[in-house]
Amino acid sequence: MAYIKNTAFEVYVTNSKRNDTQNITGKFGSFSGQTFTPDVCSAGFLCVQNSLLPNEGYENVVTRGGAGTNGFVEATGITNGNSWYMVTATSGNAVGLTGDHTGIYACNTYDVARATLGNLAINIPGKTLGLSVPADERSDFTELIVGEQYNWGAGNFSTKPTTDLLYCTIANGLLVAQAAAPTDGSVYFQVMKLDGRFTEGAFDAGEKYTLRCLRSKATA
Amino acid sequence: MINAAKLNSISDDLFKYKSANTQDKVIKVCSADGKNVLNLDRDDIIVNGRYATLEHFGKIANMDKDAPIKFNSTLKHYGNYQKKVMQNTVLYCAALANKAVGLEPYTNINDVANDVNLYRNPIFWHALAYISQEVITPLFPAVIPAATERLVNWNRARLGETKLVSIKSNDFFLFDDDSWGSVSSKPYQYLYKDMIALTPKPYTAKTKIKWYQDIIDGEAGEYYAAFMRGAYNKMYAIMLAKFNKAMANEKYIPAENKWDSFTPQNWTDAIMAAEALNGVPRNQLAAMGSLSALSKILPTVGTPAVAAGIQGQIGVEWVRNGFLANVFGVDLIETGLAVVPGTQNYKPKYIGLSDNGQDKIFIFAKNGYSLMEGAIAEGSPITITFTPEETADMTIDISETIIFDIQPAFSQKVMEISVD
Repeated sequence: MAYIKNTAFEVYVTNSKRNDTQNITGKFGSFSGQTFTPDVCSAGFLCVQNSLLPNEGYENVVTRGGAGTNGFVEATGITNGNSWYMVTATSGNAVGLTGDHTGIYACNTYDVARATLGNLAINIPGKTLGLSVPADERSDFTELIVGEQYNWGAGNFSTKPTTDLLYCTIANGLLVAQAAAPTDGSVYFQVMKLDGRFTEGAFDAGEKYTLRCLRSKATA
Repeated sequence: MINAAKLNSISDDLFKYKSANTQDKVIKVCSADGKNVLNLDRDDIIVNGRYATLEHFGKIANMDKDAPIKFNSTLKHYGNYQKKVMQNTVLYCAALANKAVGLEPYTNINDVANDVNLYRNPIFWHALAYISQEVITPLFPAVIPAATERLVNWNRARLGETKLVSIKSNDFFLFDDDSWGSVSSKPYQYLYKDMIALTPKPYTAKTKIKWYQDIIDGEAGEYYAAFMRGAYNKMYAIMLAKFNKAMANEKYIPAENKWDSFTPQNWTDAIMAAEALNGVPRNQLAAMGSLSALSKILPTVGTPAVAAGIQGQIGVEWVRNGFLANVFGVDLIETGLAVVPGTQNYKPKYIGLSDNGQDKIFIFAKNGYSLMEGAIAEGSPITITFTPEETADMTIDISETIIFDIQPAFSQKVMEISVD
């Protein structure tokens, strides 16, 4: 996923200080079988957890071959406890999470801006709004919790909300505005504000939409 | 593996710590009748914390009864000292917490233990966290495994910023055969620099300790060492992982710099190549490997090959030391394995200079450019926070973060010899 213009994410109304695990560490990309391909992740892009990241430094380890075997042999490394491979959230349905926890995360880096030049990733402190994460770099991902409110930029929508489209579902990491809430038990969002604007420095930085995270009730 | 020689050579400056003369640097503790029973000096507490930690690591180093160099302990009563340092540290933090609410400092550790409010007191924990950081941070480099120092050139980088390390071109100019009238016709040649970006990243361990067992009844050295051991293991592991990954990359070590077995001929070829490519004589080269790998560097002669002089002088050295200290003018340096945390008691896993179980030797220039560049965050590369109020079971949550980055540079050329 290349960088998407006008993407931004803000936690707006939250109880996150009472939720130690709302922000998790992740590395964004895609999987083909067991092969992970890292990719750029734009601010507010919606993701789900895939599997635990290998613990850096302990990925490739050796162990004794076992009884009757001499020398050391390659062994499976260890993984992190709560740092994840993150992949695109294809929909608002997250398996195994039916309460307030949605299992859907927004890319929300607390790092400074980073620019890439060839194989170099260079921090450029100062810019703070709408930061994307370079491919193969760790970042923070914020879990969307039912009842909380978040702000997104226009680039985070494949269909932007209007006065007639005041509900949003999730498709391929982006928000899709719709006229009615879903009825399949999935996570969706109610549009709370349509006319917000981001300010960056002394300039207008584009549209800001405030959405409230909700979970639909599946119809029988 | 703790290096006793390195512990012995730690600068005395670390133990002459003097902070700015702040208001609560020294807290006088008086008994009920007003007599001064104890002066709790924050500087002394930090200095003694460092001594206690050093002694703790020294004790571990001295467990090796046959080690040629022993740690020079200055303590006569190790256990008492460790307890006393921890108690004074806890008393000082408790005194600060008491002062904030208008209470007299406690005179002994039992009073602290009995005040269960203290365990939830943020002033107490902030004071302890800052003391812990000040004890640990300068000691940290002293307990990092020696291989890290050999392979990594450490830089400092401001938090949030990237340290750019320039790699100068090692190219040099080729002279064309010329004639008097054609000097201007020769091709241009260029030198290009490369660059490495080092951005210190956080690595965090979140742990729990217990109020009575670890704080009230704890030992200072053990307490501080617990913070340090996981951190340096992680740093060592990342350094080795980056080194091993680089060694599998043709950019850093082309196939022509690899030999698939040890023979005297391969050894001399590798040395000659390392001398030429790095522009150093062979007494400036070193060969690094595990004990298992180094033990296989044993010159042989004749057909069928027999170990040269194995019955004589080198045989004695080989058997006693496990490997020859110097072969053909090149020093051999041993690097140990490190155990992967959490695996030490069942099917232990290790990290070492070779990540596939193969025995490998790496020949490099001792005084050449560094193989790896590292950056540690300026200010507080190690941060510790305690959050007791969040727990309901008299445990204290600790979050310890180390902030660093390591990247391969390989601005000198390394030779690899597989000796399996």
